[in-house]
Amino acid sequence: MIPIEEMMIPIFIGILIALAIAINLTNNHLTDVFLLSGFSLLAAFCYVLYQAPDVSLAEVAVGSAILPLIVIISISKHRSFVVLNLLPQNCTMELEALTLLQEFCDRYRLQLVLVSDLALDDVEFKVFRKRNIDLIIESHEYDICTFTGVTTSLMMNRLESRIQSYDHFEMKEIKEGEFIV
Amino acid sequence: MKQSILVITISRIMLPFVFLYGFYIILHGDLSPGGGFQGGAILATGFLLTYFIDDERRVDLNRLMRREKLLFLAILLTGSLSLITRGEPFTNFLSPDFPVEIRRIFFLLLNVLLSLKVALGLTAIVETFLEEGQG
Repeated sequence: MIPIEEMMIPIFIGILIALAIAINLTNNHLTDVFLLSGFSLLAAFCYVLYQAPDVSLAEVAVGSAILPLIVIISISKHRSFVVLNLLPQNCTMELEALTLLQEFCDRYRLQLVLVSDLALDDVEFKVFRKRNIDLIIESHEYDICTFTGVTTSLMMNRLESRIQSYDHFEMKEIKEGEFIV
Repeated sequence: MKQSILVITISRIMLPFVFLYGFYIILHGDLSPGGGFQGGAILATGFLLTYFIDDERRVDLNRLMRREKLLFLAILLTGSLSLITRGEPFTNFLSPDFPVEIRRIFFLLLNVLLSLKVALGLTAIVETFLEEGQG
């Protein structure tokens, strides 16, 4: 007669493999964090079944508490929102879009950084590091302003729900690492 | 970014229990599963929760690193104490004639020092991430 603990191990390992595949397939950062901490919790349970409670405690503390906290704190301490402004200068649409963005940033206590041209950027940003753009506003057609952002960013979902009430603003999402300029 | 009031309140309620559990694991480390590293990681979790509670909280990274190095020296000194009392390094500084309850002091001391070092180290990692992100 096999003890019930040993019968449970293959089931848990199957769930672990499924979780690991799911972590690789998701695009959303928040879902990734939740899946990762769930993976660690299940792995810790497997360690207990293999009679290693010491390792299991370390796995719980590091894998499912510290790691998600690091990611969530880093996201929540995000301070600046960099917008690349490609709209024609001084038109009413630009004014309206900038008012909307300023209001959005004030609500989430972010600092709005406007960049009009990447070529005119500071020497520090050109030489030493790449400017990380959160959002691009541009207008290809008359009267329609396009907001382009990365799908994985948490800010984009919030901004999208704000934009939906305006008819002449539209949201476009791109994948991370994709270039459009 | 503004924190949700739910996150702040839950963090405030959880904080003392997280610290209590961390100290429990450290102080029972030589008898039951757990010990310095695990307890230190739990203490660091509790310490990181204060970042949720206070939005503007910052810790001086240099001070953290200096304390961590001092704790490392303290661990080495505790290990070498046995050179004075018993004549050989890196063993228990109390002789085997004492009962187990008294010889346990050595392990308790080592576990507490180790856990503080681990907690400071993990906090320093997070602080480094934050400093990089804000530059």
